[in-house]
Amino acid sequence: MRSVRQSIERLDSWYPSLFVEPHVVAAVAVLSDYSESPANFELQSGNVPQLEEFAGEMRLDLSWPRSLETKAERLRATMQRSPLVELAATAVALVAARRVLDLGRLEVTSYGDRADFRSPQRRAVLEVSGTEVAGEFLRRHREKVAQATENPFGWDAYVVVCLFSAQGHRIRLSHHECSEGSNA
Amino acid sequence: MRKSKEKPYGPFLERLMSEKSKLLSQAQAFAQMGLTETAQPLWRSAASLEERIAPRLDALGRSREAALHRISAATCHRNAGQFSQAANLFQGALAGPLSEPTRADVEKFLEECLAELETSSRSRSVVAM
Repeated sequence: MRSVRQSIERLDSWYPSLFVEPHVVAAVAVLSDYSESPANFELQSGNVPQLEEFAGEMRLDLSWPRSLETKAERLRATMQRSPLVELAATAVALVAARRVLDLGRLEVTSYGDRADFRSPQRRAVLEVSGTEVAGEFLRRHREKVAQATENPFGWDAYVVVCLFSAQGHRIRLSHHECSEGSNA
Repeated sequence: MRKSKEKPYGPFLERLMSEKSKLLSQAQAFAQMGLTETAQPLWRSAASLEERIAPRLDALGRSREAALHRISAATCHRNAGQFSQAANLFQGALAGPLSEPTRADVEKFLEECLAELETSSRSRSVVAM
């Protein structure tokens, strides 16, 4: 089994062109509800060229410093759970994008009600979602795949969906060719 | 696979895109946290950078990307309550090479934006009377 260990604090230095502080704090707010640092994620992958040799046998251990727990407590007290979980999932997905998928620099564009991440280097978009309800996990992934394969750039897509759960955290990570093919 | 007509972004455009991504991710995060007032000036600044990015992408033969940055600029203006600018940019994006599903989305965004514009014009005339 391949195991990736990572401190979530590194996000800021990996993505200097993204504002990730609330995402990092949200991740600590959600994860510290379940356990002390580090939190362990089982990584399930599908059709991801970078992960073929590890098929179904990966783990991500995500750690955080105690100093972030006070900020996390404040954020947990002021934010509703659903957007907090989405921010946390984005932080976890950005770790996976860097350490597992090697997507390089990410850019953000705004489209309707959502913000889309994309990797100009890989000509791929990154779709992210998160939930704390185990029964929603696969359905959420299917929805995101449908959205990702119709992305307006016409680029390939990576989909990362996180489940935060007392029964074990999981990340479902997949790669998809865009239904439309290459850029017009 | 990159199409042969497309040229690389170059350092200046990459810097603009980075600056814009920082502002846009900040605006998005504040909006998600319910801090809409704090997000307002960030949406405006991100929109202004997107407007500078789009024609530079056109010049590099990246027309699809240019149209999508116009959509992004329009969305930022709309989030900042600047519906006229948003409507102009949605119109501009529709002139670009969009896929059919994206074109349908943008037509819907434009329609919603024009409705918002009409509502805000009406409330202004009521205040002026």
